[in-house]
Amino acid sequence: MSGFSTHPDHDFDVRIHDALGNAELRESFHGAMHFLRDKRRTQFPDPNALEALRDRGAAIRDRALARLPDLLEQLERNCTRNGIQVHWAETAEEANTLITGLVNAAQGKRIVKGKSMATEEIGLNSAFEAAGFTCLESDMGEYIVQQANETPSHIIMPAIHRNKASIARQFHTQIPETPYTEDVDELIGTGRRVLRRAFAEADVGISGVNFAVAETGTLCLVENEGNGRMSTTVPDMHIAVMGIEKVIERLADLPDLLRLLTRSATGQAVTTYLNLISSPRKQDECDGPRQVHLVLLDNGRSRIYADRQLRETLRCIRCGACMNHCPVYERLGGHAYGTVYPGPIGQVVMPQLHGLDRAGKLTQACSLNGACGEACPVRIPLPDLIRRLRHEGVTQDTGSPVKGHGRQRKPAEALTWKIWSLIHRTPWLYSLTTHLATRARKLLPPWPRAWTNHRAPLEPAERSFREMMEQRGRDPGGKQ
Amino acid sequence: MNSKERILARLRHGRASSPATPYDAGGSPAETPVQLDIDSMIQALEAAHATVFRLPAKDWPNHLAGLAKEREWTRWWIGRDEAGKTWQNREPNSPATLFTDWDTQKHDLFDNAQVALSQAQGGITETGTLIVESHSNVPRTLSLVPPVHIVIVHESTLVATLQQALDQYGPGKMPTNLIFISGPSKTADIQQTLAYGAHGPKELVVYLCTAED
Repeated sequence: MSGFSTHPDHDFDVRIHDALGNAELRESFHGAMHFLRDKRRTQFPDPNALEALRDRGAAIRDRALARLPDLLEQLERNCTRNGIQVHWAETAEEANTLITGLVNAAQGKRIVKGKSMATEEIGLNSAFEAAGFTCLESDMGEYIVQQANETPSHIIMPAIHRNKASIARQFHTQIPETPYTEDVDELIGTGRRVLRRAFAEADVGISGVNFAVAETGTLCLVENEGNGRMSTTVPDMHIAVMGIEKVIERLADLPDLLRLLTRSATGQAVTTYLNLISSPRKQDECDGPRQVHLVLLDNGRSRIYADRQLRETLRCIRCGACMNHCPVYERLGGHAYGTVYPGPIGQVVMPQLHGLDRAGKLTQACSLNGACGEACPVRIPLPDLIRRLRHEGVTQDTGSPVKGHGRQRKPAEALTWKIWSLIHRTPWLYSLTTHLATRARKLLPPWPRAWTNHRAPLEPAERSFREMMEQRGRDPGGKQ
Repeated sequence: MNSKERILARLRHGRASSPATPYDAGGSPAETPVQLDIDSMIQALEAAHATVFRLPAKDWPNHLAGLAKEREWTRWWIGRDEAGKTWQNREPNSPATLFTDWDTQKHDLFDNAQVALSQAQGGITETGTLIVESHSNVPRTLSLVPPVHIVIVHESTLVATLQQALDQYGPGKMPTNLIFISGPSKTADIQQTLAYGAHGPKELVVYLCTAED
């Protein structure tokens, strides 16, 4: 499977250009984003109740983050007591080595995986490939995308960029004895048939974790398809991978968070399955995994945690509402970002993960319209964070834990703003500039094509605003 | 130091250097109380594509036998719970498979099972959710692998909300696997078109049992 780049800035402009020129892609995203936004809106009919729920969600996540190191230790203690083996990984490489080691130790060959952003983040599938294992994605969207050697374009609906005709062609050519059909029930039936075989034969199941409850040592998974339950129930070994920020204090914190998560993500009041795993198979039980492992992944999160403002990023419950509401994401689609997490949350997470020198350009793909911040169910101030990272990208010495400061700085742009700032701070220079610009407006050089390609050229007015106001003061009631 | 110690040290150092100011949700009104409402449970389940029958507890075996005949269900899988035992008594000659050895029965379950029957420990009326605990008598795959899942739930075990349902659990009271089921398995991963039976049951049949007179 082709992975995501650790240098998403590279060729970002080219990807944007390609995405904007792809009519089929734009139609897919336009339709899907409107569909998801409408569904979410119908789930929150009372704006006051929604705001109150967002407050509670943010407070629950903040309370957990305030006690993060203690809760992680509590989670480990309780999981261990329940028979779940807990591992810690500082980096993606360490996590991959650890997980492939576990699979090796169990002499596992066949692996199935439920949808998990954490394993996308560490590139686990590539690590498995390198170690000689095959790992089949079992979420329908992920399965389609993996088979096509693509990457997911949305964190909740991975194959959102594809239409049914292209999926029909793919299944027909890639799965033996599969006739061409655009009937969605039949297409899903084909996926079901192939994946059932894989579930029944798999030695190891991999999953993510939506929330982990510290007080009980419980892993919580939310889904509609049942592939998460299959992956965590049928194989002898279950390995769950979660970012360290996903721990919550109490079981009683779950209802509010789930209410926000499922309604924000897919506009559902409830998902088909809420799966709470507290233990491997017990002696007298007849099924379930014999071993359950939990990998606690840092991968830069503890660095983010040190900064009070950036820490708010860690409240994220991965619902995707920010991208569903982002006008830029809607037009570009997820692949243009070239990142595991696309859209607004990706624009905030990826520069923190890879550094502003590698991913700082992503923050430019934003009109600061604020829709993401208004949609976020746990009130992450995404526009503020994007603006801050933009600023850090062009400034040195900020004392922030984000790497690659100032690496987005362009000398010509910096000089332009210096001159602009000087003019606006110096009254006589301001008067002179506006005087010259209005008087010599016909003599100004032609606008660069990048601007006039899609817009009418701008021309300064005959007189500056200030001059017009002065004129009006002298001649009240008269025509300007 | 190992990875765990380094991660925890960074977190503790980070917390000390910029202490948290907890998010203040003080102004938020408490949630409006939700009443136990069986009609809304039926509505929610049916909206999620489940089939619901509401009848006195003593009547479900006969009703189910009729349904089984009509649908030609012959390959049954049951647990050693109340529902499984009642069904075996009702249909002593109908071959229903009990889980005894997972490793030998796994493929049979995946390839041949038509219907699973089990008892839910409770339900949530607000969202139309069934509460299913794994335990020694009922395997977790029973509610997952066969294409049709039939659930018996007593109305006396229903609660209004997930919050109330979770209140019954907590430290020391968690089953190995606690599942909340709100309909048959489904997906909208292909062009936002809803399809049922993605990986789990395609059909969910719920018997809401009223108290005996």
